[in-house]
Amino acid sequence: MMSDEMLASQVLEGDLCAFEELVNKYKKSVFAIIYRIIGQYQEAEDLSQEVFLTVYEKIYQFDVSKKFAPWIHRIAVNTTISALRKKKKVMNLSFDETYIQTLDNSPVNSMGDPHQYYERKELGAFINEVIMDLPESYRVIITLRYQMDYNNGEIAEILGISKENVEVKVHRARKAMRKLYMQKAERKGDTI
Amino acid sequence: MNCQQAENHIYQYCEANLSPELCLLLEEHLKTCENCRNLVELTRMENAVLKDALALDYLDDNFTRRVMNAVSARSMASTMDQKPVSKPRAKRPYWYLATAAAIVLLFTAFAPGIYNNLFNQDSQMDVAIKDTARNQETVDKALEIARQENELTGDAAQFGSAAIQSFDAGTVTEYTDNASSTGTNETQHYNNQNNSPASTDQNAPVQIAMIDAPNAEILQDTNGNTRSADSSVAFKTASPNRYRSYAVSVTDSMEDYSLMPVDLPNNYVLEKSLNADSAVVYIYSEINSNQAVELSIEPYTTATSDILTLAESDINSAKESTAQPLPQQLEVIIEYENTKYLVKLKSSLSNEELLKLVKEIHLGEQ
Repeated sequence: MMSDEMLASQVLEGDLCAFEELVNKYKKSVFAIIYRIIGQYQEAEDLSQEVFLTVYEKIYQFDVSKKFAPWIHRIAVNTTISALRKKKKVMNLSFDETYIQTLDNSPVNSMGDPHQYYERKELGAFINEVIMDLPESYRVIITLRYQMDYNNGEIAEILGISKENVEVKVHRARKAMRKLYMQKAERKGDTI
Repeated sequence: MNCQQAENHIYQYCEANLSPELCLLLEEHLKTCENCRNLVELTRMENAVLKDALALDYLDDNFTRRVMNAVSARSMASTMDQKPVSKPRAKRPYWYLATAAAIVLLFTAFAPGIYNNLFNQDSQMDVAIKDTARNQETVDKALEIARQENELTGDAAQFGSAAIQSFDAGTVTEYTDNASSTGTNETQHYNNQNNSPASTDQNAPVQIAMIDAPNAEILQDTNGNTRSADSSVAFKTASPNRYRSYAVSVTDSMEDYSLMPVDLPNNYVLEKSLNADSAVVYIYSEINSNQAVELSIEPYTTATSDILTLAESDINSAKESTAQPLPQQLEVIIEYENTKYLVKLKSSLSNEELLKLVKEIHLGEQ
C-alpha cells in the first residue's frame, strides 16, 4: 500500500487518482478539525473543499521527506483561522485565561467515584454536548490530541506553538471540558 | 505531593507520560487520597470515551466527487489560461543551460583572474564552498553540455563581469559581501541623499543565498558590489518536488500564520523559497525576460525604523524623477493584519518593471 507521501509525489506528477485517494483518506479528519473550530456544518464542508483545493495547488511545497498528515492538517487549521478572521474581523482564537479562571472557582477534587454517576456511554454524550461550548482554541487542541491521536510534538508543529505550550493547553482544555460537563450534569440532576 | 499538584500531573499519568520520579510521588499521594483516585478514574474514563465522543461522521458522501470536480475544473481553467495548477515551470530557451555551463567554465578556468578583475577595491567577496566534489560533478556535467552546444564564447560574454558559481545537492555556498561603508550602492534607497542607508546594513555580512534543495542547480551572480542592471540572477531547478517551503511564521499563542507574497502578476513564477535568518526569501522569475526577482519578508521592528518606507506617492514621485537613479533594490513596509513587515526586492529588472511590481505585492497567508 502506498504511503501518503508517495501519493503526494504522484499528485505532483499529475496523477489525479492519487489525489482522490488522499481526499478519501483525509476528508473526515480535515472536516473534523474545521467543524470543531467553526462549529457550522455547511461552512465546515465548504472550507474542507477549499482546503483540498489548496492542497492540490500547493502540493509542490510539500516536503516528501516529512509526514503528509501534519502538513494537510496545518493547512486545515490555517484555512479555518483565516476564514474566522474574515468573518469576525477580529481574531478570537487565543486561549482565554479568564474563561479558565471562571471554571476554576470550584474545587476539582471534591468528587466521588465517577462510576457511581457516569456510565461510559453517558459520559461520552456529555462530552459531545459540551465540546462545542468550549472556546475554539480548546476545541481544536482536543480534536488534534484525542481524535487525531497526534502527540504533543506533532500538535506543536501543526499549530506552530511549542511542545511545552501544547501540554499546558491540553491540560487546560481538558479541565475546562470537565467543568462544563459536570455543570451540565448538575443541572440535569446527575450531581456528583 | 498535595491534591493541587497531583491534579496537575494526573493527565500525563493516565497517558503514561509522567516521569518515573513524579509517578512515584503521585502514586504515594493516591494511596492516601480517595478524591484524587477518583479523579484518576474519571480521567481514564474520559480518555476511553473521548475519541468516540468526538467522532464526526456526517460528512456528505458526495464530498470526494465534488472536490475532484472542482480540481478538474480548476485544472481545465488553468490550462486554458496557460496557468498550471501545480508548480509552474518557467519556460527557458534551449541555450539557457549551455550559457550557464559556459559561465561555469569561464569561472572555473579563470577564477583567480576574475576575482581580481571583477570586484572593485572596496568590496571583497568571501566564498566558502563545501562539498566541492559534488560541485565539480555539476561543473563537469555543465561543461559537457556546453561543449556539445558549442556556444561557449558568445553567451558567456552576455554575463559580462558576473562571477558565477554552481550549487549542487548538499552544498551550502555562502557569499558574504563585506562591502565597506564607502562601497557603492550596497543598499541604496530612493531618497538616500537625505537618509544614509541603515547603519546595520553597513559592514554586515549579507548572505545572498543559502540553498538546501537537493538536485537544485543554481547560478547566482555574486557581483554584490554593484547589483547593477547587468547582474542577472538565474535559477534552474531540476526537480520541482524537491522544493522546500518556508514562510514567515507569526506566532502569537494560537494566532499563528505564515505569510507569503500574493497577487503577483502571472508572469512571475515562484522558483524557490529560502529561509535566511529572520527573513524568508522568495525567488521569482519573470517568464518573458527570464530575469529573477529576489523578494524577502521579515517582521518589521523598530530597530529597522530608519529603513525607508515607500508609500505609493513615493514610488510615483521617484518614478517621475530623473535626477536620481532608481535603485535595483527596493524596501517597502507592508502592513498585514495590523502588523508591519519589511519587504525587500532585489532584481535586475528594469526600474519601470520593478516599480510596477512593487505596487502589486500584497501579503497573504500561505
